[in-house]
Amino acid sequence: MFRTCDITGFKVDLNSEKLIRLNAVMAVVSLLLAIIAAILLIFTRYQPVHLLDAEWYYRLTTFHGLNALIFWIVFFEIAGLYFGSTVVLNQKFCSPVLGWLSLILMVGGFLLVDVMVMIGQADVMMTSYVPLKAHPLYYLGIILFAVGALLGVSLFFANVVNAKRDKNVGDTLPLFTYGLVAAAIIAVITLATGAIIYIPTFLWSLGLIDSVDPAVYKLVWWGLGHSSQQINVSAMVSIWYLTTFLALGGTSINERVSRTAFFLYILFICLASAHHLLTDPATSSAWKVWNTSYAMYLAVLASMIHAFAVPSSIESAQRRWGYNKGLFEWLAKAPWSNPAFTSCVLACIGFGFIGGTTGVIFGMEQTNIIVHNTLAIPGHFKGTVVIGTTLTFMGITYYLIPLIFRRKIVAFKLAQIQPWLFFFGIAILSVSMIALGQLGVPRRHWDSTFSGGPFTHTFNPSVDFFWTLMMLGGSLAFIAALIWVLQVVVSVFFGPKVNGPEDMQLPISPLAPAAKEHKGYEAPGTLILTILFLITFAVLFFINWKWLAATWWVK
Amino acid sequence: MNEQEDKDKPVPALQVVMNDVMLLLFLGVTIYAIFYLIWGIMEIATVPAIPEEIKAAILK
Repeated sequence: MFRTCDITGFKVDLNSEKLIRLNAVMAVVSLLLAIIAAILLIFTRYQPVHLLDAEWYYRLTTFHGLNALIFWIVFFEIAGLYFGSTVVLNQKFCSPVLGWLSLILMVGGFLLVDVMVMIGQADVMMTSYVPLKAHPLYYLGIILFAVGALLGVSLFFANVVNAKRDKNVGDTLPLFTYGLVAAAIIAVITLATGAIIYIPTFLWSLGLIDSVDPAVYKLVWWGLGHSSQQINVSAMVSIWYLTTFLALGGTSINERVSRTAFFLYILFICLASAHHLLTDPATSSAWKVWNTSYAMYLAVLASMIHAFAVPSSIESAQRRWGYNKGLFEWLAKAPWSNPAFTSCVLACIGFGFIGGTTGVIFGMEQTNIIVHNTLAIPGHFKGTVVIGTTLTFMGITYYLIPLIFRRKIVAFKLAQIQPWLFFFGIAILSVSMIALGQLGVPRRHWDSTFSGGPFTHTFNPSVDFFWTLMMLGGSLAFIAALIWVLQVVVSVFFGPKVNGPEDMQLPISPLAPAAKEHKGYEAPGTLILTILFLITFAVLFFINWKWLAATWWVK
Repeated sequence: MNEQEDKDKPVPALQVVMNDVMLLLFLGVTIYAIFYLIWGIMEIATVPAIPEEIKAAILK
């Protein structure tokens, strides 16, 4: 059964809408749990407060990692996959029964995992490296969640195939859905890898097999752990294109190139999992360098293409709407009052300048040695998964609330400043953590003063400054995330109903007018910004190599 | 060039590959499985076992 959306004109399958809503609700619940744990962890690592004891520090680190990196993200992505394969394609949901089964498995897995962690039966960190052993129900929970998610991804593929069969879409999918296809393929790789490693580990925890090889476990686990974050990258970039289209009527200035970039993601991005084994002795340099450099750089090239294509699509649309003065009028007069657009642009900046640059530098065998297992690594992924993916998902939710939940956004003015607060909070947190890591502060460590330990270490005195900065950035980001959660919950459950286009607080733009004949570059402002990015990248690259050269004398 | 001529033009091979969702799935899984998983596990599997005397000395 369908309803026709009076705002977008899309035919919306009511079964799909219900499943999108429920997956999105579970995503928000997961994020709320993750940020509560995060603020407690920040005030534990911040030594003047040192809030939790060691046991609860490790417990909540496990809890935070799973809820932030797996549950929040995957629930949201499944909602996004259903949206992209049914609503956007005017397609009926292929099997609502299996959609419900997927959701039940995922929620069951989520509950099992979170309960087992909180009652102290799985203090194994998110990675659960063997021979650390958790309760069998913990592993079972992960397996149930992964199976449910894999089923959800399969339903996405079935919807897309059906849409082609029913001629709701031609041979070439819309760019947004194409990006989601890339995300779904990466999800299959990720979840299948998860099954390969969690099933034997589950059997080992039951005592049915003797052991799991720790080196093999680590290699296979990161095929899940890192690749799962590449699902995010693909989904996030797809949403950037969607937001540009919704907010400005803009499209990629060369869709074929953007699609090729997604194609490169499908082929190469999962190989980056080898980053996590760069200091492990069991695999050769050939394996490490091939996976993290040669092949991986093709995926980095894809990100560079998107990093140019997304802002240039904004600039091109704005120029066609008449904002043509100078290099940056298009940027100054962009729709900054639209929180989805603001989130998208800030996420793009943060992801590129913080997450992207550090990702490439820390991902090389040589420079990785400076920061391996230091706080710089979680600092890097705060710059990718949090400032990039989470902020993007927060932003697109401002469209989903009126379009899918049919509610107005309560306290809209607050929504307009929330992306800025979150961006600056996470940017400060992330950069501080990267600086602390560069100064040698270890990650996953309850007490970096090593008090009472047999070894001690005196850090550079500037670490105190960065710890304080990290605490302040983390607190600001926590407040911003809490504002978003409250706003979503209040809007969805108590917000005024949307009765038609007149109730839309975020405009949906018509397609930008056709470009007039012009000489020179179509997006000169973006070209300047891209050159600025490349200079920043080159400087950081040089600093890290210089740092490496100064680390010790090689005799 | 009119629409009919556009339709009659052969579709480039790369576009055919990029439009085929199942082929993309196959390529993505295969490249990852060969270069990351199988190659990596083979390397770990061929690491020689630690000699017994060294193992005994460490565990002593």
